[in-house]
Order: sequence, then structure tokens, then C-alpha cells
Amino acid sequence: MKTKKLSIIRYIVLAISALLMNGYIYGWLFKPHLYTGNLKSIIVPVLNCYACPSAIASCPVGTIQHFMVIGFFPLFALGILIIIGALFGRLFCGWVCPFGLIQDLLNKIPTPKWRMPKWMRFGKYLFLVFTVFLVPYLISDTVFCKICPMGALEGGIPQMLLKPELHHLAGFLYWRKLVILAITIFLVIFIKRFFCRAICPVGAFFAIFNKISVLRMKVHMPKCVSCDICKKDCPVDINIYDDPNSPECIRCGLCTNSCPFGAVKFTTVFSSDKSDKKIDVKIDVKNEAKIES
Amino acid sequence: MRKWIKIGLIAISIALGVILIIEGVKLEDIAEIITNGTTLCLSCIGIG
Repeated sequence: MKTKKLSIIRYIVLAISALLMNGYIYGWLFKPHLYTGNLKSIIVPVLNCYACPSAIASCPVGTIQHFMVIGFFPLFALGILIIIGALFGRLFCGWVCPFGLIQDLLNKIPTPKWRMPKWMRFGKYLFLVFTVFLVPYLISDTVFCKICPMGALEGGIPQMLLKPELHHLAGFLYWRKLVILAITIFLVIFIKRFFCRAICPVGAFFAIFNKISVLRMKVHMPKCVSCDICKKDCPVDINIYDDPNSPECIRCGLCTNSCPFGAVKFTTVFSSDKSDKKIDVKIDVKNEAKIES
Repeated sequence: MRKWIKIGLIAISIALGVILIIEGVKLEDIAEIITNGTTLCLSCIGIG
């Protein structure tokens, strides 16, 4: 019940964040169908396409690629992302990212769920290094934008609908993006947060900081009985007790509420372990097992 | 000890981030970000 409440709060926060980042409703109604104000200097620490008619801020992936294409290192954008990563790790993936919200909602569709092979999680790092930094610099082209499903969803489809004059330009690249979007949606329905875990360069960037960030997850091991109830609720299918600050953890906090023993909690790097008290695990296991059954 | 290593890494990361932001502002990154963000991204919509 507590988990459900936190889950609803998280969905509300995700929805409000998505609306705030895409709050330029005017862009859907009138030309140029794109926000052109100074708020575009803000780089959101999530995947949110700036080609969306209502986007008011800039996409970090698109911005970094642009700088690599023109042969400059994206100092400002990286500075912002490094500070956010050092403070919060992947918190924004779990609580702010609009594509995360879309994935979470799509995964609610009642179908058999698949487990993502573990090796696929390394894919996002390759996408980060090659399609965001290296290849754009070498070939002077925004490689990730050309395959980004969020770009197709937020930018490609709306812009094509709003601007009939672009229709004749929709060729192989456009249809390829739609196919990638369709495949992503298909996989996300069956695999929890597939895109975040296997492809997202923003997630890969923040994942590097999960181990050291100020905000952390903590599992009080004497309380944990490895019952895996937390894993059932986890949107990224991890065992939080194996590695509380796993690079895969998106800090959604659902495990903090789903754990019947209160073993998982948010903490900071400054907090001390001494406040934790041991409890009688055997008694709790029996009681909670009855409750669960 | 590990805790202090983490705090040290956080401090280094934040200091690096601040330096990058300052240098980025000096090099007029913000103007470039605005120009890029306010120009329709053809790659994003899939036509260029």
C-alpha cells in the first residue's frame, strides 16, 4: 500500500516535470512551432527533445553532440551534468525523465515480462562514448539524434503533423526513426525501462556517478532477508541488497517502501551507520511471510 | 576511509563541474546552446 502511494507520487512528479519541460503550448498552435526564448540555455538532465514544439529547455545529448560537431568541447553542458551527477546520481532518471515516464506507463500494459540480458546494460556506455562524443566529432554529424526514439516521438511526429511543408523531406531517415521508435516501444512493453538500461546516454553518464554521489541508497543488511520483494517493484530489475548504489539504480525509492523490514532507505554520503539498530530477523521473517502470503 | 574517498571524489567532481561551467560561460557556450536549441534540429525530426 505504501509502495503504491509512493509510486503515485512519483508518477505525479514525473508528469509535472514533463509538463514543465514542455510547457510552451503556444508552439503547438502557432508557427514557428518551436520555443525560441532564452530558457533554451537551460540544459535539462534528462532526455527531452528540443525539437518538440513545446520544449522550453535544451536536451543534453543534442547539445553535447552539437558542440562535438562544431569541434568544441561542451564545457558548460558537461559542468552542469557533472555537478548534478555528483549530487544526485541517477535520481533524475527515476523522478524527472519524460521518456522514463512513458516507459513506465507502457510497461504497465499487461503482457508477459522479459528479463533483459545483463550484458545489454553496457550498451548505454557505448552509445554515450561513440554516438554522443566520438563519432559526432569525427564525422561532424549528430549521430545519436538520428536514431533517438524520443526525437521521433517528441520532434519528428509533431513537427511533421504541424508543418505540411516538411512532408516531402520525409525519407529513409525519418521512416528509420519511426521504426526505431516502434521497436523501442515494443521492447519497453515487455522489458522494464529497456531504453534507460540499454541505450540512454544520459543514464549512462549519471550511472558513472551513482557509486559516489551525495544521495545514496542504503541497505541495512541485518534487516535484509533477501526476500526479493523489492526486486518485484524495482523498475530496473536489480537486487538492491547486492549493490545499493548500483549504476543501474534510478533512485526511484520504490524499494524503500516495498521492503517489509524497512531495510532499504535513502541516505547521504555524510550520514553515519551507527544509528542503525539490529533487529531479530527470524521473528520478522515469520511475521512478514504470513502477511505476504 | 572509503566514506572520505567518496566525499573527496564528490568535492573534485563539483569543483571540476564549477570550473567547466565558468570556462564554458567565458567561451560563450550559453549563446551557442541557445542558438542550437532555438534552431529546429533536423536530425531529431529525421529529415537531415
